[in-house]
Amino acid sequence: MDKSVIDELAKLAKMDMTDSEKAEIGANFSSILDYIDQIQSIETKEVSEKLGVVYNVMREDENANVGGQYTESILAEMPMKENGYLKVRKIM
Amino acid sequence: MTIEKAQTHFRNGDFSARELTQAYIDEIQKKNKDIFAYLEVFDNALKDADKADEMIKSGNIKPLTGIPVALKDNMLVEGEICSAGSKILENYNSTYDGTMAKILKNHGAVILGRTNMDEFAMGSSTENSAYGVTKNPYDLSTVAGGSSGGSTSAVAGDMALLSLGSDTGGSIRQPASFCGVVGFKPTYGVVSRSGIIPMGNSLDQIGPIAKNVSDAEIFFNAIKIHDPLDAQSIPEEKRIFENKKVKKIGVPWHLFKEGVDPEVLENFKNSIEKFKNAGYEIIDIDLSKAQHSLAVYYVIMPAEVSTNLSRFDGIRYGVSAPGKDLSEVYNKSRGAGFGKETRRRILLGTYILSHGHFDSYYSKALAVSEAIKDEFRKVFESVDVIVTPTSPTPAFKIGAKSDPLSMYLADIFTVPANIAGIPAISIPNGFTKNGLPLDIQFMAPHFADSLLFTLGKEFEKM
Repeated sequence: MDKSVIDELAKLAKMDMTDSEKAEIGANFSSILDYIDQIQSIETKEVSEKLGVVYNVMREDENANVGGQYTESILAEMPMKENGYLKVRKIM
Repeated sequence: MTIEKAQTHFRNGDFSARELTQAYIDEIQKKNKDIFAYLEVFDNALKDADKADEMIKSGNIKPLTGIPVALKDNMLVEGEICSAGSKILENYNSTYDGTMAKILKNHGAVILGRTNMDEFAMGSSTENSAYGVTKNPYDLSTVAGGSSGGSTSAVAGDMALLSLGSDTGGSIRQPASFCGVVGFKPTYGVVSRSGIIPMGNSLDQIGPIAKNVSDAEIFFNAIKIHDPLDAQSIPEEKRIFENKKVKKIGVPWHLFKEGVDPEVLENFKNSIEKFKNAGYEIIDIDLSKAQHSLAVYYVIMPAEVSTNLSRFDGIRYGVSAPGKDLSEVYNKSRGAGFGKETRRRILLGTYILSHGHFDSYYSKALAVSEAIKDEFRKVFESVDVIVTPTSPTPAFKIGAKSDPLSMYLADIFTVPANIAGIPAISIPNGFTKNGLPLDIQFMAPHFADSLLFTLGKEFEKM
């Protein structure tokens, strides 16, 4: 697999990786894709039409918990916070 | 020890839930440094046991009261660390009880601790854990299987009476087979996944691991409730199947032409003879579409993995690497937190879902998985259950499978049940010449989970 493809995928996935790691994963990539390619040989004309049947499983948009029930424990997990708010680095 | 025996002893006052729990903790302390089934034993285990003893004293004994259970490290227990075998969650405290923890607490079961697993359940050997390799209790130089290898080796090594695993492509059944215990993957949608850290949501299913079929059945019956917190949970009245005596057994002989270990095949053929002698009709079946299940799986699963794991970004919980801007925090945290196999699958999924590949991979794989479901539906018109080996080989040596594709092929017989969403059970079935456990797998139509237990109990007696 071309190195530029792996570079682009790592960028899209927002994951810092070393060049040697990219090379190692790239080397196995093609053999996995070759294996996956066997699905192209399977006839799916009949089944394809059945795809896309969806129905709503969502509940009504109302509060499922007592307000504030999990606030403290969720805040406790945040790496950076201020006055009960999640704090993040600048975007640009 | 079985559930029934333990509870009889509780009733008779022979020993308490606290004493039984302490006995398991003693075993863990003795064996875990060699086997590494557990990542952590919970301090609360003995408190759970005391609650169980109160329930027993008041005569309020539920099916799992006082039973020591181990949980895979991807199931939330409020206040306890839950890391999914990953460094990126090494500091994550569960903020709530998942549905499994709620059920266990309601039953007065004892939650012993959390067991080792391949990182985010990606693997077939528990070698991909960020915390170390789980060993097979039958031979410490071989793997326990995976990804629920910690849960299966805990039960096999008498370090828990029961455990829970999760099965996306075989992650309960394959390690159960390697460790010589029963592993059950229920029909998709009958056990809630609320409060587990997901891998591939359209395939993930939680299920029990036990020493025998009867215990697995009791455990399953306790957890198979409808749960509105899992959008894929199926209401009980819709779980309709034909409850019949199993007579016709389908065997897809064409799948075993290559890649199956000779000892595994020989043992499997002997088992089929046992079924014949017991009066079952053996029917040769064709699963020529289902034999592509593993290829379908390696499209759908990485696609779901790459989207699922985008939530681990160093912002709201878990490991966070410092950076000068938001983008650097994401890239560094994910770079430092994920292991090699996890990165591989994230990149694979990103590739599959990217513009220009989506239709040829993802849409095609969904269509093929529908074709596979149709094929199973048709086969189940002529047979009651399907029987195969669980794993094409016995447990392999630690480090033996360095090439990812050869590791993926360890799930060749387990993945079809996940793609079709049908229930499947792995049952211990003798040993190799070298003393490693062998197995057999039964699959049934949607919602016919109970048929597998009935047949399994009969098979144990053959």
